[in-house]
Amino acid sequence: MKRYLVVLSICLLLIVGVSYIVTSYVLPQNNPIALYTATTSENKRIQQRLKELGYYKGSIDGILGSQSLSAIRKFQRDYGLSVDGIVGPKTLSALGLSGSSSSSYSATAIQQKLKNLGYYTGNIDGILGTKSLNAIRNFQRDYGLSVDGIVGPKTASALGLTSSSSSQSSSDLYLLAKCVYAEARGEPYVGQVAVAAVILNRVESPEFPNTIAGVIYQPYAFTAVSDGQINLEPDQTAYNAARDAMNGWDPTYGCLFYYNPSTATSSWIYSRQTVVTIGDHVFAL
Amino acid sequence: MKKVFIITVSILSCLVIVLGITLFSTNSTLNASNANLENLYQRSFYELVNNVNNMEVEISKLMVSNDSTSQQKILSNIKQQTSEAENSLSLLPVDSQVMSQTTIFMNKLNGYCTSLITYNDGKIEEEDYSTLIQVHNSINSIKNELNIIMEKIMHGYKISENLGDGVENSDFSSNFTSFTTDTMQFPSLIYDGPFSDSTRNKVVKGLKDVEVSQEEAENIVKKIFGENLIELKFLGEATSVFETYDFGVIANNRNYYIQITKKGGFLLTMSGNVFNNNSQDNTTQKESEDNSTTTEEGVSVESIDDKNSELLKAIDKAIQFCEERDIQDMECVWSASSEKIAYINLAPVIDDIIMYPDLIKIKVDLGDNTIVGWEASAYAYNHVEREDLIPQLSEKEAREKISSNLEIQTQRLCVIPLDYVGETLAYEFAGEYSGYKYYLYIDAYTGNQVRVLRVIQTNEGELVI
Repeated sequence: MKRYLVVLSICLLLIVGVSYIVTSYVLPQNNPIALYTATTSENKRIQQRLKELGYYKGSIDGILGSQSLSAIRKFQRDYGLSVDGIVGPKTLSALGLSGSSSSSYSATAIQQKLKNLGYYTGNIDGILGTKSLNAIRNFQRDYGLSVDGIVGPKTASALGLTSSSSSQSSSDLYLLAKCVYAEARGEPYVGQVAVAAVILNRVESPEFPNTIAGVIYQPYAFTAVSDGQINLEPDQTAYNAARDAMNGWDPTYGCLFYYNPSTATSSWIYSRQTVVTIGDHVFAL
Repeated sequence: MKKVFIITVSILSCLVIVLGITLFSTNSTLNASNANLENLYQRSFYELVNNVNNMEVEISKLMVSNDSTSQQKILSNIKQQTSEAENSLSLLPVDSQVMSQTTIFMNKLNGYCTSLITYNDGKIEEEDYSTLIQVHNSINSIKNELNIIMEKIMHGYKISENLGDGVENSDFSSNFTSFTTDTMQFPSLIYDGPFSDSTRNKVVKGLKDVEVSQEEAENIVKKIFGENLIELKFLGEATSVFETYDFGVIANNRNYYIQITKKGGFLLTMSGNVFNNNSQDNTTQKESEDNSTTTEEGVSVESIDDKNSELLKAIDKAIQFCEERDIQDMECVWSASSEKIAYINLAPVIDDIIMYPDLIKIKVDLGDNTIVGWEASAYAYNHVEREDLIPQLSEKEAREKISSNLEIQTQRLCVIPLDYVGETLAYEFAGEYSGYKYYLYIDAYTGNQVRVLRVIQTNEGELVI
């Protein structure tokens, strides 16, 4: 009987173990939770905001657990959004959290315009909180727009706001920063600018695709893209480096290639004329 | 005993079934994504073939048409096909080295068509015909090589299953080896435009004709920092259009990277970063969320004034820094600030004419009013004493060339770089139309509109495209 118990428990352990491994490593994660586990810092912002609005009572730990989830649902219900528990762009903007990457209208500009029109009485702090939201709603009601509290193109044009349309160029910046972070996060700052500059030089060169996305996602072009590191969230340094390169700073003066001499496998690369060595990377024409 | 055996067996078989099911479902999702990938590759390939075929037909049409309107139409068709072909090429999982000559050919053909359309009004001269015959031949050979691969794919060849474990072992890649220059002849296309050879061979005009030694370069660096210099390290030399001595410097709590040109001992690049950049990330990011959105409409009057006075101080600092380097007559032509960093572009203004080709880009840390970035390659390339800057058009004549939609606010004379090579004297008109700010440039010799820029307000400041 004892032996039977031992065998049984081993088998159970095996089942649990194997199924755990299978589900966590082999099966692709198409769990909806994966959608909003973006970064802990962003989650913290969401929790902070929900707490300010009185929806969330737990601790601000950056983990969207069941408590946060029900807070999000409740918030979505109250604000007339689709109640899916997922913090998408709409929910984010209703929370007043649309970051610089997703909002095309400056929050302070919206508040200023609303204040000028007498709809908003609070401080112009760049945070679209409940007061701003009510102001937007009232404005939308008075102007015969659909009352959703979201400053879309129609509301914006009624407000007389010009879209900063930064989304187009900032998506390039974001992509560039991601590639810099994936390829060169351990490198000195100038080395990161140099990697961004090489990407931009490729865009200009006839030998390579003519868009930033085309260059970055060209098959076999960057190892960090092939192995998925490109999907890591870039840090501020990578952003700054990308921005410096876009402002026209090219520490490589027109280089199209770089390699790490200690890991480069292709002998072909050594045939190019080298220009400068920055950190671990050799840059070549 | 027998009971134990039966239970064990039944549990184990349960396990096998569970495993089987999970593996099966995993496999089917894997299959689905493989199929998606294969479809994407095949689509790119079919589109490439289609574009090349169209190109071949269009170019042969060009040979027999004589009327400039229809030639213009055909040329823009070819242009369209080349850019689509270039796009498909970049999506195929082939080593970019193998396809580089073909990609270059597509891009240059695109530029060639553009220049025929813009500069010749689509009229094709005798010499262009001989070039076009060569182009036609090249496209035919590309077409033939693609057809061989097409044959394979039509007989069930799967691209995604023949990629090997990398570029070098990829069977699909090896199909394209005939695309290297040895077997395929690409004509050289002579024109002014993007990707043309003339833009590649830039000449450095702005440096003094004296060679400095490494020691002299070191002294130049020492002079920049004075007594703030803590450490100076020689990092190596760079050889490109500019030959430089590269230095690493520790000063003002920052790590600096500095390049001094051998020719003329000119400060080409300087970039300073505060130590422990990573530990500061969180705080600076937070600051940027709070403050950086204020550039457009501003928070309150008080802080705008603060910001402006900070920025003005930074601009003064930048101009003073230039004067210390013996770079005279610099004025601020554009500035913005975000995250406590001011971005300042300076250009020489001589006799009230702005010299845009000689732009120097400077970053100033607003916290301690220190120069943390310097990029002067444009100045080194272009700065010369310009003579005979006398406009042929009067300001009034230039103004008449402008669309009446634009509400002109300011105008001034400037020298601007032309798109590909050279520069010209132009009138700059700044104005507004339906809420947007525009800059228009009218050539002061020919009266042509050489450039239009629209100002875009971003969270980081103004951006012109």
